[in-house]
Amino acid sequence: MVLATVALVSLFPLYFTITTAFKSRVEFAKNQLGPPAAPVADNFEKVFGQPYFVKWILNSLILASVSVAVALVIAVLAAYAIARLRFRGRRILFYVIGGLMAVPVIVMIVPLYTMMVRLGLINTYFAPLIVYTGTMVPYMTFFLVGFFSQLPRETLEAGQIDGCTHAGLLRMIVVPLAAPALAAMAIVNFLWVWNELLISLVLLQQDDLRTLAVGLTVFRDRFSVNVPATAAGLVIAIIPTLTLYLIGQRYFVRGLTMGGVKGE
Amino acid sequence: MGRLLRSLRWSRPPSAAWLFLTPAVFMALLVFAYPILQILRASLLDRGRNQFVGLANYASLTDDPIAWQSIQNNFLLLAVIPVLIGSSILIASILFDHPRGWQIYRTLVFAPYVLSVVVVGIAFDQIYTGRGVLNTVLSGVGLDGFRREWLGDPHTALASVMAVIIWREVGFGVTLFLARLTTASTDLYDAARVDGAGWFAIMRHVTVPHLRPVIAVYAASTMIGMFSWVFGYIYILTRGGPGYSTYVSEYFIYQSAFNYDSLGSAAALASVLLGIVVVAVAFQFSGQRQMGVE
Repeated sequence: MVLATVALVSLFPLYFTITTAFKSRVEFAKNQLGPPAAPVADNFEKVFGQPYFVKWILNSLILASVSVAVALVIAVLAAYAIARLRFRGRRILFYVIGGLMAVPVIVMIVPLYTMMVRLGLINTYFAPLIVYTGTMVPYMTFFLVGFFSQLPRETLEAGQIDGCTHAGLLRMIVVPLAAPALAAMAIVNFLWVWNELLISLVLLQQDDLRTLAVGLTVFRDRFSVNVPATAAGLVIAIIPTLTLYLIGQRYFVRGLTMGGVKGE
Repeated sequence: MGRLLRSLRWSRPPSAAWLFLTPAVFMALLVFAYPILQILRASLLDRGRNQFVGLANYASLTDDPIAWQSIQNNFLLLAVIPVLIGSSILIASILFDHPRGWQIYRTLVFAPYVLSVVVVGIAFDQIYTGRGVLNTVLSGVGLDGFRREWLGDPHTALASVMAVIIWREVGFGVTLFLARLTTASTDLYDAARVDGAGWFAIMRHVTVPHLRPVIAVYAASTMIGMFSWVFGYIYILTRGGPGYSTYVSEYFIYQSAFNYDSLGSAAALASVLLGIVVVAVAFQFSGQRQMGVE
């Protein structure tokens, strides 16, 4: 009973958005709740006919994949050093990184905006790329440290005896062993950037440079009275998210719970 | 073997570690340290004259009813924490019994968390409007008296936003608690059942105590979230309105800095927010350490 209610409540907004996207405006006015009696695809045509809609998708894809890739490389190096090497200040560094994870973007966003204006990077990909990468690094590092310190010692020792340098160990042993954790981090963070609002809202203020998340808000204002067209835009935005979630669910759940639950 | 490893580690120059850390430290300085110093500095300056004014910006913040309203709303948002914890425990413990199709339910419950706040916000905005589905349903079941513009009415706007937050974020709590429950020994549950403990007793004496450390961490992180990660919900659902009834600190900072050219107040409130987060993180760490000890 409880579960059925929960499932119904979880699903309803999705159901509503998807069914609405296939209704004509006339039908939506009469029939809000039921499935579309005469499904139409006009709404999707209208959405793709909007200036820049495809560009917004492309912008989000580029920003998310590049920043996640760069941040992962930086985080892997840092996490390896913290988990596997001895140096002064190692513990403190680990706690500082953990603390940075919680610092909200709103605290930094004004100085970041000013900085990007001064550097002439505002309204270029570079501004959000730098900020996304920088904000993801502490998060990824924190979780990867946990994972790297659980790797079997024997394997790494064997590598060291074979004369591997740290760079070699990292590339030949650590990264392949950590592949599931890296996949988890990549998926979780890709979706974070894909869905992020504040940073891209502030740093990309030109219509053709917007990300899909910000674009949808522009789009919603433009179509405020046309609910089905707005719903069609939402459906398009949801598709990659849900696909990634369903394919990578295992990694996804793992990536999010690694920090909160010991031994996971 | 341990000694061998240690000697190998020490035989590397210590600079190897710092070489690996350089890119991460550089990014952290650029994106975190420098902006944080800048915002703290700006909170002590008069923007126009670029002069040190001490705590004047903080003082004018305390005279600003909108700032108070914002902070107060952040505190009101904390009300979602007990609801999230309660429903997460309930759903997680039901799923832990592995009823038929529990994996499907797990997937469904978590799905909203994957969707962006923008998508969720726009969908709920349409559900909440005067001619929206919620009111249609209410009329359908004879509750015409409850019809309203849910986000346009200052009495219900913030509560409606909270409902959206709970809807989207409960799946995360469920997942977290379910992961923790799988580490519980089944003996404990068997013993409780043998002793004739009912559902409620098991919940109270076995499930909740086992979850307690995770609950603490989850509560702390949700608290940080309600103070400093709700911008998206407000921006999409209400833009702080009607009036200022759903202003929160983040939205106040955003508006002050980018639309009202009052950097001093923005910087002062951002600094206060940073202070709150630092305290909350300290709590969270001490909670996690206790958890590690257990």
